Amino acid sequence: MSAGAAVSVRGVRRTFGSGRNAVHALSDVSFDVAPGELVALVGRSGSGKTTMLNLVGGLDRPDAGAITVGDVEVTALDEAGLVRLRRDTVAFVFQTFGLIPVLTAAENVGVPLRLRGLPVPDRERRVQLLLQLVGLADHAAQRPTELSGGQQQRVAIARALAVSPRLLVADEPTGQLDVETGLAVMALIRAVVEAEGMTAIVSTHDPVMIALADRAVRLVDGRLVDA
Amino acid sequence: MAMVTALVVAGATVLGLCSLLLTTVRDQALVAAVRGTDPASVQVVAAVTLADDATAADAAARALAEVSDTTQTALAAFPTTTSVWATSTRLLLDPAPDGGLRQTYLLDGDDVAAHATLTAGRWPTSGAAAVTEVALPDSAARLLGVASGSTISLTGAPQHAGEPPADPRTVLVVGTFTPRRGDQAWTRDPLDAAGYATYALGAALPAYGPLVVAPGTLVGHQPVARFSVVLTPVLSGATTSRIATAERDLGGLRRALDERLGERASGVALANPYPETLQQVRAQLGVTASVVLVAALLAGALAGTALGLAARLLADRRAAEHTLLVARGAASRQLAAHAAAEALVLALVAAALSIPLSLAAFRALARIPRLARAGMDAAAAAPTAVLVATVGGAALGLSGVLVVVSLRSRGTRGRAWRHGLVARSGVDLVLVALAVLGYLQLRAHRVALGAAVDPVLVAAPVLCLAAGAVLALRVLPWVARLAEVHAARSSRLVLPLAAWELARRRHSTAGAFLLVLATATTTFGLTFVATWERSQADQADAQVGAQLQVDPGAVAPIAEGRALGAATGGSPMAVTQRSISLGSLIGADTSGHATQLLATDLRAGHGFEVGRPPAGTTWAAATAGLATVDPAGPLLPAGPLRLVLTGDTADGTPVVATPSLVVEDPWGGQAVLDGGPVPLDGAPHELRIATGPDAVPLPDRLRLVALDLGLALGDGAAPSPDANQTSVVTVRTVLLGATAGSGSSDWFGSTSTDPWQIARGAQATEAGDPAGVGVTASATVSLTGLLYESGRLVVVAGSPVADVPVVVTAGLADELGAQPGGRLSLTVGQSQLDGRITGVVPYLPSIVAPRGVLADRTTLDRALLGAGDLSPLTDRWWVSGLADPRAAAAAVTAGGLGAPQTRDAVAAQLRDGPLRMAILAATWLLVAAAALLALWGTAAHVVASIGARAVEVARLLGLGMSRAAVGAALLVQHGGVCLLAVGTGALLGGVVVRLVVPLLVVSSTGAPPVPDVLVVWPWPALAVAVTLLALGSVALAAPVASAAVRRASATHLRMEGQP
Repeated sequence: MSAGAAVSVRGVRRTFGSGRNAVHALSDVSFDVAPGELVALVGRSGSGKTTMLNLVGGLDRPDAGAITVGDVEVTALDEAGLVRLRRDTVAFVFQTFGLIPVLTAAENVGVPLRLRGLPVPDRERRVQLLLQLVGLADHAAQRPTELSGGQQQRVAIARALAVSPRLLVADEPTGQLDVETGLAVMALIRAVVEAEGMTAIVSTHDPVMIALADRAVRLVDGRLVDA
Repeated sequence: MAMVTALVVAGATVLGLCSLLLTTVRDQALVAAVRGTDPASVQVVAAVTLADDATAADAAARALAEVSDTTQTALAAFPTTTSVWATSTRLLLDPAPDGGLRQTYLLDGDDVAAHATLTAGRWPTSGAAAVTEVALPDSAARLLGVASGSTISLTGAPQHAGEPPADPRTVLVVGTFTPRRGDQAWTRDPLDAAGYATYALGAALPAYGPLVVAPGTLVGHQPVARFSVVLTPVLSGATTSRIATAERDLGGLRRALDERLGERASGVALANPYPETLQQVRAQLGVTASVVLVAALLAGALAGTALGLAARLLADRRAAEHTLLVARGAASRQLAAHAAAEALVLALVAAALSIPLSLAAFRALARIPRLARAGMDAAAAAPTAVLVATVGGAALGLSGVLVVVSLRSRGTRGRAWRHGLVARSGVDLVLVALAVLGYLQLRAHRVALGAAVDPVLVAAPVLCLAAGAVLALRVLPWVARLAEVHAARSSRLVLPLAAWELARRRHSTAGAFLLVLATATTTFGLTFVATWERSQADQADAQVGAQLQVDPGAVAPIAEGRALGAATGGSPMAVTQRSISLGSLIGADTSGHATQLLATDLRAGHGFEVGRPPAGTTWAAATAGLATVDPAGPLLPAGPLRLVLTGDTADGTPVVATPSLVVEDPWGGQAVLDGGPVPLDGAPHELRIATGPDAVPLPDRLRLVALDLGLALGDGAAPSPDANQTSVVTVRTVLLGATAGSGSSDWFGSTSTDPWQIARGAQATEAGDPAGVGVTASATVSLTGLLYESGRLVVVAGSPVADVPVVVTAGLADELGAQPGGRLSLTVGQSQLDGRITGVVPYLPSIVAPRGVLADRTTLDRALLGAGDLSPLTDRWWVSGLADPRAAAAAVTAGGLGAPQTRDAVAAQLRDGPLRMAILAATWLLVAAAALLALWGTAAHVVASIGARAVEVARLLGLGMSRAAVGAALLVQHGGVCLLAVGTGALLGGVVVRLVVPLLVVSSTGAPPVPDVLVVWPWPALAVAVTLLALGSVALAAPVASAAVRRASATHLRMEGQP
């Protein structure tokens, strides 16, 4: 691991299936992400971007290699450790927004805070602040089905920021948005990363989005070709 | 698809089994009921009185043969035993000592000996004896002064005016007998076994008889006036076809007899109870069928609901396939055709499986001992057209649910869902309206109307449960809202998340409907069975007043109580139960029931515990105040009764007194003992009293309760016929060896009931005597009246009864507008008594009529004796305190003490009889099916609802929620729904039980039961069932939730679209 890296990926390999049906999603991938850096993970569909993000976020385990987030070696964590990692250190933004449909925007944002057991007044204050941050203070009581795609993704970003994670992992956050909205969302991510001083890895294949990142890491057929 | 198929099979199997209960079991029950019917109760009796010109021996024999042939042909479906009794034309006896004409008749019966007890000599034979041998009743023998070995001279009475009497002849008395008391065979005797009547045989002459001759010596040899043919069917080999054949043939018997006899018969009386008995059996089967149909409809509703849930699971699983088909241009019609074809195949497969499964389930049910004992025969399980039609229809109907769900699932969620909500609201309202209408109809008519099954009445319970479940579902979200409010205030996630899901997810309570309905049905079924069984026991208690009820047999009344006590080991109690008139309320009510009087010992502590007491009170409280007097009178010594009579008249007119003693045993049995005439000449005359016609020795502890002195003028008395000459008659009766009784030693004179008022101002006193107890009776006697009519001086032990306190039934009170404190005029026999109402009760034990009157036996007896009525009051016996009523009943039968009936046997017949077995079977089946279908359907719902949340589970895991916490949230949500649904279902079941079960539990004829239904809550069974449903339904979610959490992976996060 490079000294001072927020995220360090070393020799990671991930294969799905076995034998003749084996799919090598990632092969010997290594890269680092500096603290406060916004890295775009670039590649075509099926190149291994999502697999890489899932491994970094502790949603999946590599077959080989090591991943470190801050001073925590993710690949060495047990199930409880991974839960703690996802709860306290890493936050996700999904391509499909990942909101709980039966909850309002405010309740969705409050989910991570509930997982931490934050007192109700503190939670409500934090939720209000985050919704104001993403410009949805007036939509707090609306459910996801009552919000547009961009609004949903902004709620997802607010939720991701709720517990002030050190690492934001966003998987194609603009994939289901039109260009204009996608740019706005990407700009929001850029802004909050700078404002909160967090590190972010964002997967995308949109060149416009890539331009907003500090740098790009390119995956081709599961191999890192440009870091 | 396997789950859907299994549900269709299960539903069709349950309904197929119900069809077997309605058809095969119905036939079995009919056969078992007919086989179990007392053959005597369906005897065909054809009693023919021949026209005067058809009594000749040959003609009568021909008529008899034709009647026998016609009746046997009508009952040819069954083997029969035939009994023929024929009586001769009138015969004249030698004139009485006073010169009066007397008549008699011969009786030729092939089974007379089976209906009588020989008391002396032997039965006549048709041997080579020169004279005809006869046997006659003891009573007739005593009155005629003949005994075995005596001869009786007979002359054929002229049949027509001016006709000379037939040749005289002599018959030889070879035996005497006592007809069995209560034996219906003696109704064929012109004198009804009395042995004597002042007017009979169509002539105003005293008649004595019958003179029983040897079988076969009358018919064909001598003129016959009347004969009766009794056919008793052997029902042990009854089959459905034989039963129907006999019913059809017997229906035309009356007409056939009339046609064959023509003018030869002056009267034909036909007792043909078989069709009516069958009608009653069918009415009971109709009641049973109604209850079975209720169970079948409920099972069908549950199966349909469970299948709906499973179909939704299938539709969800096929959503992608369906979308693809639509995208590739499949038309709605094509999709509907595809769904229909699939449903048809499913129906065929399910039907093919359900038919053998129904038969197997039937065999399993039939092996349950209680049902097997009732006559349910496993061997009778065979495919029938009804079974095939029912199973096929059920499978098709249930498969149709699949089509409906499949088609409905295509609609878009927005507008279609809102439209569905509105439509559902409409359906809800219609369902509730139908339930209300059904309930009102049920309340008006109860579940069964005899043999016919009313679909509205049968559907009412199902509608009530379904409407209740629908309404309950409307309430569940409100409960969830409360949880939601609590969730907002919580700092945790698991419980709030469950509450949110419950309150806000559209299908979260879809499975609740099934659970609510199934739990309500289970509660309903279990409570119905318990209530129904309790009601049958209550009805048995109401029909039979004690553990054992005995209708008197051949034993002399004075010994019956003792004999019953010795034979049964219990405590006998004499009971009066007979029809009476109340003032102007004479005859039967609209239901054919006359007012019934019930009287027994109601003194406190004498155990009038006769089944369930009226609500809110006890029998002791309800009957308090009815026993206003205690037994009184001196106690007589055991053995022969001797007494000394000393009497005189104030003016010395010779008068003869003939004493009759009314004695009562400790059990309430009474008898009248007659003494011989004694001249009242001032001298003491000792008498030995005969103890009844059978000369039974007097038992100890007999009490003299009344003394009746018949008065007549003695030799040489010549009172003035023109002026009413009176004289005070005083008679002192010393009962030798008697002791004073424990009660009052007061006596009073009865009011004179004879129109001449011969004895007036009767009074009496009791005093000790060195030889026993003396009773001195006196009255002012009209000597002139004695010229024309014998007089009676009746004195009664104890104090007089001014009025008889009574408790009346609510039905009678309503009819009369009477209430406690009101008065009644009771006509008991020929006596009129004043009654005072002290209470009103819903029913009286052993009285099925709406009009019933209960009185204390001693009080009633005292009042009747005070009115000069000495008729015995013992109509039947109740025996209580029995360890083994069945053994006691057997002992009563073996001892010839009468016809026993045990309360347990009646209850068992009502509860477990063949006509009822399908009720139990169907209800047990319903409870089992409800539990099975509920769990099955819930499993389908759980799989569908949790499976649909796979993406959400993955998101929660991605947010940092542990797998355990996600699993717990799923379980809490599902468990909350299940527990709420089960609790609501139990509550709904309770409400429907309260409203509906009392209307479903009816008597064997479908009428409201007596006493009213008392809802019985089988708490342990309900607790077990509800707990099993709650835990079972919650437990079903555990593996599904666990699997959902285990399978959730990052892959789900890439799934497109919102769940």
